[in-house]
Amino acid sequence: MADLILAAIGVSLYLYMLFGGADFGAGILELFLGERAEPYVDRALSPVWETNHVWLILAMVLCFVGFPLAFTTITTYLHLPLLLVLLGIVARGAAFTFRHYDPAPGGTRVWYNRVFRASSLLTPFFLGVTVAAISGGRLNTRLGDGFYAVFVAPWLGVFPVTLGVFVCSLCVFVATAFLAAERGKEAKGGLHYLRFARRTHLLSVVSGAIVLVAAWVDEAPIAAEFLASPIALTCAVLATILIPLIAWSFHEARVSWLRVAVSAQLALILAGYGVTQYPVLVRLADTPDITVNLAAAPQVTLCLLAGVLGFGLVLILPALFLLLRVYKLRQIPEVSRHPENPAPNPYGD
Amino acid sequence: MDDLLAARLQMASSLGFHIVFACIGMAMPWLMVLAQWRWMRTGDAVYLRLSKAWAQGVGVFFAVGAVSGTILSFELGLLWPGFMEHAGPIIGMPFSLEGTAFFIEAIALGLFLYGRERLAPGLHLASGVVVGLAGVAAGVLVVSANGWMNSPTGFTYGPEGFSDIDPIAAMLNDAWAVEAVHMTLAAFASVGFAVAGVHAFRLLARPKHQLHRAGLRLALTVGVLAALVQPLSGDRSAKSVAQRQPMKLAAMESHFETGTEVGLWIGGIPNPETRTVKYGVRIPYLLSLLAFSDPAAEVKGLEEIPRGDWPPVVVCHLAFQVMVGIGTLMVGIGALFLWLRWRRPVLLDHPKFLWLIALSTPVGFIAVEAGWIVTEVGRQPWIIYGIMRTEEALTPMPGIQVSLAVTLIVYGLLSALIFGVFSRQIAHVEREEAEHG
Repeated sequence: MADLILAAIGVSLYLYMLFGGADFGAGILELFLGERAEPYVDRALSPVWETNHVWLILAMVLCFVGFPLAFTTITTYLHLPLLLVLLGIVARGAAFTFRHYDPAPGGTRVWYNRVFRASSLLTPFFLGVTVAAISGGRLNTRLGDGFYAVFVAPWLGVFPVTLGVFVCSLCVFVATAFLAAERGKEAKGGLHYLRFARRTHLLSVVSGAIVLVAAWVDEAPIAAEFLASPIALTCAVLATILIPLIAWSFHEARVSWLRVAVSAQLALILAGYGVTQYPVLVRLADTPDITVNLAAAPQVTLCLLAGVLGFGLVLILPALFLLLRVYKLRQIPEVSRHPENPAPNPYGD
Repeated sequence: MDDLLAARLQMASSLGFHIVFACIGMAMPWLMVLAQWRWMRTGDAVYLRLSKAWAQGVGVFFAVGAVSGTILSFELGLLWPGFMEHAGPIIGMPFSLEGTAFFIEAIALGLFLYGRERLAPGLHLASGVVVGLAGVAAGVLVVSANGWMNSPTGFTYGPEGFSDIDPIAAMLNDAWAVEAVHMTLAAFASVGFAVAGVHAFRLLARPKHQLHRAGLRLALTVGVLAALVQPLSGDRSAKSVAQRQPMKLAAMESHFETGTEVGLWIGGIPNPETRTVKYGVRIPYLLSLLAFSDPAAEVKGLEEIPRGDWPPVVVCHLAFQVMVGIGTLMVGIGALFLWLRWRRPVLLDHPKFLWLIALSTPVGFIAVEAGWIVTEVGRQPWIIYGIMRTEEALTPMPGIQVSLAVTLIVYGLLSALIFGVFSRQIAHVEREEAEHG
């Protein structure tokens, strides 16, 4: 049962990386493209954006109900990067909301934009740093060692920083791939997105390779265990095989292939990471690691949690499907007909 | 300031900020649906425009509420890991169900906000009803977790810690029902008064403005109905607290010495050192009567427990007086409104009445804040009443004062920005109204 909950955490993190990641990536994209990207970013995100961050909340609730010891270890010893993630989510959510709902933002719009873009970069970066610190094996729980050794040093290293960069580049890649998938068939402007997506793909492949080197340099145990796990290696091989497929999709502008291949590649990366980690949840420096068995809540809690999850899925999935169907499918042609469409007016007319 | 106080203040400011948006999330969708429904029934276009205007408010406040709710779920772990480690598996049910409700609320809101032209009218209205239902459900479920902190059940506690965990029993704790009813009514009362108050402000500037008149009447009706029922729920809450947490009641009422035939303080400033209350009016027998339905009943005083275990008496007492005082005021305004509506409807447009409603804009929220201060501060020094002390739950991470300062700055900025966006939204709605003629 604990494994089932763990799998659910993995799936919700995956969906967060996919949809929330596309959100972050869209914001980072604005950093590069500036005002030109904004109408599309706003248009692509607005109706569903509130739901995307729910995946992170879901993963957190599953974690503190199902694996409380893992949750509290992470929140205690990675207080600082998590606080920065939180600040990023708050700044980003607020800036995006105000930008969207403010009918006459005037001069503040510049600030909404700056905050939105900067926090879109910082949030996934520190999420990556946090994930790296959880699996890096440097978490120090001896409070006597002092503030720096306990609360800063474990996440301020080569491996965490490179993973942070990797997560950011993945976000940009997912965002550009989705944007390209939506707009790639257009005669005008579509090629631009495809070219851009190809470049971000290269960026994420390179930064992914750097992470592996950094893990090896940093002597993070994850590097050795990754090589020792056949399933993880299979995931890595499959993800690598997808690289040329994605490149081909770009070249031929096969946008539906692109969507599937990108989602699959992300799933493989996450699965490879998860398999390497299992059954460890949090790696500690000196004390024994926190494993699934050690952290799992009592059986009755896990069973009820699984029940609630099933009940929730029965309610949420059809509703989510309806929402996506009503908006994503019908909206895109509308944008395509008016490429110079300004940001949508939420007030109707 | 030590870390414990800083952490408590940070949590308090986050809860205090979020509770406003939680109230709006529970009650505002119903106003939006009511207006939509009236438009569909009567065909009066002003209600359609009102529903659209309110829906914009629901959208922006929901989005900010989602952000401040995210802050809270992080802070539970960042500030109180000792609590989460043990409480997580016990009170996980309401949290995970609340997550489901919130998710559904977000989806339904997306459908309602952007589906006006894309969905059949009945389905569109239904999506609004789902927003309202899910909003109330989410609020009620979170209250269950707070009810458990006040009235912990569903486990055995021994030297080995928590065992025999029963999450269902924990969710159905004794405090839940009374707290949930009180909170839901408070949400409808405070939001009804606040929305009516905003429309009243605008009516003072633009007399007889159609949209604002319709908005004021509809919102105030909802707020007043909730405010009139609230005292009954308050009475049930007081009796429940008297049973479960006699020392919280004693702190709320500055009741120091155990005795029978105890009077009730109205107002007053308590001094815990001298164990006296100054400047208050005491009504004989009333506390015994209200708490135990018997004017001669014994009411335990704070002297029953060591001085160090007392909840902060002054804060509890004052917050309780504020909540009850405002509740009474809202009942008075409610009675006036209903009477005017029935016998003198023309006076509803009188500037004096509009001023009264406009000045009442924040009162409901002030009462909600005061009520949560009573609940939370009155539970101190416990985070899980009688089981775990707040200091035991605190993170070992030092320097919480810094994150408190950052938190306060963030909330200050957010409040200022929300105020700006909100004013501009109102101006925008009025411009559109002017175009409609």
